[in-house]
Amino acid sequence: MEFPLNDAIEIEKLTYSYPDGRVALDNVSFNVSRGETVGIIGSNGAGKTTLLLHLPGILQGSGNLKIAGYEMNSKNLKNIRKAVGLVFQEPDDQLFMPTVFDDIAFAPLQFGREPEEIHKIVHEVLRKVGLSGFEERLAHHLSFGEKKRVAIAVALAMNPEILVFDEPTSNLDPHARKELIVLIKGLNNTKVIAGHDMEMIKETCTKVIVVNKGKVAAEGTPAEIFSNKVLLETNMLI
Amino acid sequence: MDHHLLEKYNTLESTIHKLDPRTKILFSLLYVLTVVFTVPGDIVKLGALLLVIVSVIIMAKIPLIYVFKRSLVIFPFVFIIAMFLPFFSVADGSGFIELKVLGLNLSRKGLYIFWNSLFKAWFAIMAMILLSSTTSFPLMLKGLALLKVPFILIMILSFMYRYIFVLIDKAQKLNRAVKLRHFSLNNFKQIKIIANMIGLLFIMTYEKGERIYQSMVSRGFEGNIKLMDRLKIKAVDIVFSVVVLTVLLFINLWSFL
Repeated sequence: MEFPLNDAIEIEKLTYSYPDGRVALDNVSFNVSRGETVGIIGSNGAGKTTLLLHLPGILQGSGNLKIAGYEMNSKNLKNIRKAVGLVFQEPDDQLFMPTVFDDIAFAPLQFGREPEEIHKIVHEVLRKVGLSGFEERLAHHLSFGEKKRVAIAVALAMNPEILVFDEPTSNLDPHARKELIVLIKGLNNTKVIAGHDMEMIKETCTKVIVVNKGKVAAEGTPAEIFSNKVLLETNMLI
Repeated sequence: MDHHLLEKYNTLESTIHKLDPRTKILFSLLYVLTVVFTVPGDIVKLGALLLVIVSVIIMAKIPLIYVFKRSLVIFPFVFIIAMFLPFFSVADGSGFIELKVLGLNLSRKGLYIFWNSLFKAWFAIMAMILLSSTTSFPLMLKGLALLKVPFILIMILSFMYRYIFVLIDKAQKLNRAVKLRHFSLNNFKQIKIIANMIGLLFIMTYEKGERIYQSMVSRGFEGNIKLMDRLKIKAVDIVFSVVVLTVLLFINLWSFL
């Protein structure tokens, strides 16, 4: 797969207000290079999820966004959504089809892939997340950890350049959490991971962005950010 | 919580379970139609039809007692709908009253039709129970879609099936939270709180719906869902179709022979 040479994500002066007028994102700017794993940390309500929803163009604030080399506009929306795989915090929101197969096949079908190819894709992404043979399982019979993995498989189905995770380790037991971190580390897409599981961010990310009240409060390597106790405290992270 | 009531016998291995959902849906319909068009009082034909459904249930390895128990659910509905039939003579529209029981005027013909409707409804519900216990819901939806049922209906049913369990879990959690605070749902005075709970549940589902829509959009949904059919008519479908069709034809044409 060939990617354009520029950064995977370029965000410039992104501002977004909720319909009720509350400002959720205020002049957010940052870049993510290709192949990089970026952690977005912030307290509850800091605007992490709102920011993530801008990456596949579900929410559209003002400002310039360039995702996988595509300018954010209605013409490029389809290509952007192909390039971004979004993993929701709550797998029940993401897995809306009755069987695992149908869920993974959903995106490839909407983007017009052929049936034989779809069978291959489903098989391949299930193998990647360690759930081979789960095709015909019913979504409501899966454990929470399995649902999380299927959600990642769903996001991988279009072989996206960028993978976006919203609190991937929330509600997981320690073992499932550890396994999920291994899985995430094994994927070599460009990754954006939001969360407040600091250990997980430390372990997986090459860059960390701190958001607070819709603004970027700091940006740096995990070592820089996590050694700065004052920064973490002012941003309500410890 | 018994999430699996619907799916209790879906995973059994039998000839009937192996049939294509389209075959099962079409033959269930054909069977119900045959039952409905049976002339009232044709005991031989009704008996033959009962024999057909019972033998298919046995072939599907589903306990007869289970089907029988679940079929009882239809009786209250039939009673409510057909309860006044014995008081009129619907068949000739004359309202002619023939019997007097406990001071009530009953029509013999009305009673006759009443019993017939009861039996016909019972046969039909057994066919439906058989269909739903041998076909998993996702397969049933695929079959219906291939049989050209409007797509919007299929999607509504599909989402309902996916999220009814999530919703039941939510409702149970709410119920538990309420119980923890020593609140009795039986007390009529507290109906306002119950109304609030229902409202809360409604808002939760609304917000969930919004997030599901976001998930659909991020996966390329543009207002038209494309689905894939993975069903194939097999030899067993053809054999089953020929046999059942012959039997039903024979039952229908019996009286002309």
